[in-house]
Amino acid sequence: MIRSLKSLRSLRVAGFLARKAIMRANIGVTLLTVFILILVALNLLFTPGLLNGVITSANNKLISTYTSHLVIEAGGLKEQNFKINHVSDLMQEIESINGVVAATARNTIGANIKYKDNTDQERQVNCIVDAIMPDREEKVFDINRSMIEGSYLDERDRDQILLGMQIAGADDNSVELYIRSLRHVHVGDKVTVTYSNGFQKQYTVKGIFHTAFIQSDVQAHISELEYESIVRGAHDSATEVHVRLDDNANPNEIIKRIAMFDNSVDFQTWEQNAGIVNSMTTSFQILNQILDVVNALVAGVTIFIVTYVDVINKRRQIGIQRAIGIKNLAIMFSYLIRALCYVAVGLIGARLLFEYAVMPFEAGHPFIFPFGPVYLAMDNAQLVHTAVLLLVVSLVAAFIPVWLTIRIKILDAIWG
Amino acid sequence: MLKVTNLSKIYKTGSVEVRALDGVSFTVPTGDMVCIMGKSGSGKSTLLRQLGLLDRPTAGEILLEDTSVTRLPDSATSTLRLKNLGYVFQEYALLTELTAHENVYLPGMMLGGRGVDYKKRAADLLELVGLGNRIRHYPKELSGGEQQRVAIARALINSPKVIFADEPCANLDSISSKLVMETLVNLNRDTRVTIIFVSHDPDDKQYASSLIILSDGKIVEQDDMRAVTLDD
Repeated sequence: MIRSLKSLRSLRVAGFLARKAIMRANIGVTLLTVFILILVALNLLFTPGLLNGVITSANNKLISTYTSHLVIEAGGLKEQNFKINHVSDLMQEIESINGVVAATARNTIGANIKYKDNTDQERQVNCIVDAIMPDREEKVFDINRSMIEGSYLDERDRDQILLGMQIAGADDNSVELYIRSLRHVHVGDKVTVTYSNGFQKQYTVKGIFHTAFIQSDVQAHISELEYESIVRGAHDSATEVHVRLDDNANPNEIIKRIAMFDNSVDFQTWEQNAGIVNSMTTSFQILNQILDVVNALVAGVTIFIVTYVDVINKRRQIGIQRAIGIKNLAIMFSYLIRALCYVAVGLIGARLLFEYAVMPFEAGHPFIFPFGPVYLAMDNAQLVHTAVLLLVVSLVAAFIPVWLTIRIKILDAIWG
Repeated sequence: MLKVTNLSKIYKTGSVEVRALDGVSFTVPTGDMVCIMGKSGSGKSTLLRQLGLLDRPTAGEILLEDTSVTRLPDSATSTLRLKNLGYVFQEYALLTELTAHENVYLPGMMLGGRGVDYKKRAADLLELVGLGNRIRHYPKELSGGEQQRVAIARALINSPKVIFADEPCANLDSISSKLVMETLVNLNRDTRVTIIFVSHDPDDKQYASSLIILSDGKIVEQDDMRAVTLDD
């Protein structure tokens, strides 16, 4: 009790000394210190902000072009059933659930696509062809908004095919998989498709889409109507159903509701399909941790130098304080409080700068990644992490020089 | 009462030993005003620093109110200095970031209590040393003599048993010196606080009720046996 009272008194004196020291400090040194700490904090916010932006952007692409929020598949081997039957009824039931925006069915089939260019050179690509319901597809995915040539499919389209950019090539050698693509395919060109069931047909390329998400752009689409002409008995069945949810919807609740209609299906959330994003996230997190260490060192060294120079200049003053009975704890706390104040101002400054200058600027000039533009994102958890990291580092960095100084004999501190 | 027995202080520089104090013994009754004099290097400042618990003696004992204070741990020494001892240093040892008022009440704040109380006491003490109109001034805005009087007020804030003043007028002009010494004398007279001060100026003897003269770390002369008694 007595000890805590003494500590409280030391804290009170420390607060007083810190306040006076800050108020009477050299304004240039103070501004420079805060400026450096703002830069350090900005650095600490920037990389995770970019990471969050990358992850958010990649996930959005994944959801809007590849998986949707929820993928429903036939039960597979365990049910001896590879198709979802009565899919129209299932989609109708799904769309009646609160929180579901839309559902669309797809049939997927393996295929080989060949193209003979003007020089009679033939190229071929193996890929997945998705048979889609264009009207529903537009409500679940954004692929229709990623057309770079031609137009999207209609429900009644037959003999026409959409190709992903990574398949068509479209004479754009900046495409990641251009070398393995058909290279010169454009809208109106004819391609020959051989399906995995042996069926072969020539199609006219109606459109080429480029979502900037490679997994999507290595696919080709035909209409469901066309698919039913290729695969017998395919009517009202699908290999998978994709479901788009409201932002606030709870996927688990919706899965439970769907399972009540049909318990023979399997469910996958988009997170379970986010393998590529997860591996990218891991790499970014390692990079982030390295930068955390570097920035923590810069912050620590800055606070250390500022405190060290200060205590060297004020060694005599510290000696006088000790001589008149000011406790070492109070003296030490006063420097720690000052360091915390500098860091707090640095953090607030960095946060304001990040939110009101860096983010708006970057939004106007976004970073372009393989899956599209990436916008910096502010993450509160990261803000807390940055704050805690800087505060801890600054406390340690301020503690060391003060501790070294208050270990000096009072006489040596005052008279050297 | 302050009692000193066989106090010695040896400084070591490599293999060289310097005996700054050599078996000093004396007693100072409460309320006395003692002047320690001696040539440069005689050990007078060293003695004051041992008495003021700013340094640890090599041997001997110091009793304050019959309690040995020689071998206390640092934290206890710090508390003792805060509660019972006051200092006036030769240089104007004020904290430059604090006003005169804040310099005076800082030890009061450290001791605890209500802010309004120690702030009022600090203002009263500044009034007492004739600086009532200078409480908001920073040290650099005060003359040397004024700074020393602020230091005296600071030394008094926690009602110490003993005030130590190490050549408090060394850097002052004669008028300021007189003012500072008279302030100390008046305090001694009015509050009965024991004051031990070091001086190299023979004229300062007039302010003391007792005199100790040191040479080569030993007491060689004492005046006014009414107050100071050599034990050996």
